[in-house]
Amino acid sequence: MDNEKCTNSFINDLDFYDREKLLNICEQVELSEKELLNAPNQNITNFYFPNGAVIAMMLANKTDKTLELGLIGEEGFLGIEPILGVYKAPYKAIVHTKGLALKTNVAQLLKLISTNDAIKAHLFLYIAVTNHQLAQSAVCNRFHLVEQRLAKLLLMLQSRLHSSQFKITQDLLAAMLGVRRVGVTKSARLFQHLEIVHYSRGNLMILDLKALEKVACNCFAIDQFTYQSIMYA
Amino acid sequence: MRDSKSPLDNEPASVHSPQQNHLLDALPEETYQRLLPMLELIELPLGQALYESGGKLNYVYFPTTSIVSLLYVLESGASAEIAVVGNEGVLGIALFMGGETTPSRAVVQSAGYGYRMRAQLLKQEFNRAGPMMQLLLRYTQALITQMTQTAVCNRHHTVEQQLCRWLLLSLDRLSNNEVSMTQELIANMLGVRREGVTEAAGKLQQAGEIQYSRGRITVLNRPLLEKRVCECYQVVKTEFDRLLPDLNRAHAELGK
Repeated sequence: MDNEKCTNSFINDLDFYDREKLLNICEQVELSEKELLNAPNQNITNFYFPNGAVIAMMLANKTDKTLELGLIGEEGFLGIEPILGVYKAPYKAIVHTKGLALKTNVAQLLKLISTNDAIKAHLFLYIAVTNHQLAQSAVCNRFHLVEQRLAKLLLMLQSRLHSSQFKITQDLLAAMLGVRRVGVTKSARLFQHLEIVHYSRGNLMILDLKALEKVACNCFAIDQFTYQSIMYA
Repeated sequence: MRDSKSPLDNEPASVHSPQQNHLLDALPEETYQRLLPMLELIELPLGQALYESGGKLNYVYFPTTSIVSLLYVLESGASAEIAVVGNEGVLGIALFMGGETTPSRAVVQSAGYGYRMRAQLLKQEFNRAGPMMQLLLRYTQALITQMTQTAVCNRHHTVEQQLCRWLLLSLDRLSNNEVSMTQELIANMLGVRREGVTEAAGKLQQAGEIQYSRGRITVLNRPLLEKRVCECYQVVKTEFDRLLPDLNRAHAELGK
């Protein structure tokens, strides 16, 4: 691929030569909406570094009650498990927003990091970030109100899409938050009433980002702080 | 090496061995012998905090007869357990990922013993990229699985199911069928109100599955608990169960 065109900031944070080495084993692919990248208990074959696309990690239990565990955009990558020596996916990874991504197969990347400590350390830092953010979100899910969590989710999407406008259904929002649809409808209506968002026929537009930040629980700000303090320590 | 006033002196030394920790036990003999002098037996009393969130990691801990709870504390002060670590695991994984501080609080949930090792020494061993590294990485994934499963369990399952999950995970890490725990503490772990725990524990007691008295829960009928628990328990258990056999296989391959 054309190395100039990489917008994945996680890769771009590497030193010049390491960045080149990593990019040289990647190919650019177009990910389509709802494309399944990893299925639970199936082998993980590729790493993905979003280059515009956004990937959601979703956990589902037997009764099909779901929960979004995290969103991966240009700040990260999909595939921490093979680095930890686990080759079966513990949860579903699905394309949330279509777009480009850089793809490399598991064997190739593992081979690269077996001889490159700088790239390995960079990947490990991201695992530390993920570990921290998953712990945070487990407890956030427990205590924070649906409207706080919905606001947090919209902020997560906004920051990864670099856009205040996106298509999303209430059903999907409910599945991601692990709540009933009526909870999302109620909160969305409130945000609409407060003129924080405009929502119609699956099109969502954030009108007042500052107000949305105020409604959201602090977990969004903490997630960002976690990323900054670990990746750029 | 041991302090003469150490409470450990009251017990014969042979009672304790690092091999009671499954991760240490899974190490090849050569690695185990190298690490042995670096491991220090310590007593872990109930309620002791091994780490505070955001605190620096000076030691890693390998529990043997104790259980340690990982709690995530929100800014508001509200907290809930994200994982339990007992004789199957290690505390301090943030260390070798490069994060120097730990995101969670680690508190002894069931008194007992364990071994600690200086963080710097573990880091050196990790950097050898040998069996210890493989072990710690695999364990990290198992712990992440436990954490995410806890998240979904918190969201979707009843307090009663969560209590069963918590009891069974604790039981798996103990050598008897008794857990010392007040309802207050269980409520804090699960991040629910105390009344919720009282009600759930009452139901389990009535069904003859547990007996609860004065801060002690005795499990009377484990199969019934296993029937009642949500699938989260099995998901976590399977992940830990396959951790060690996989490692043993990896060693066998290395030895070829």
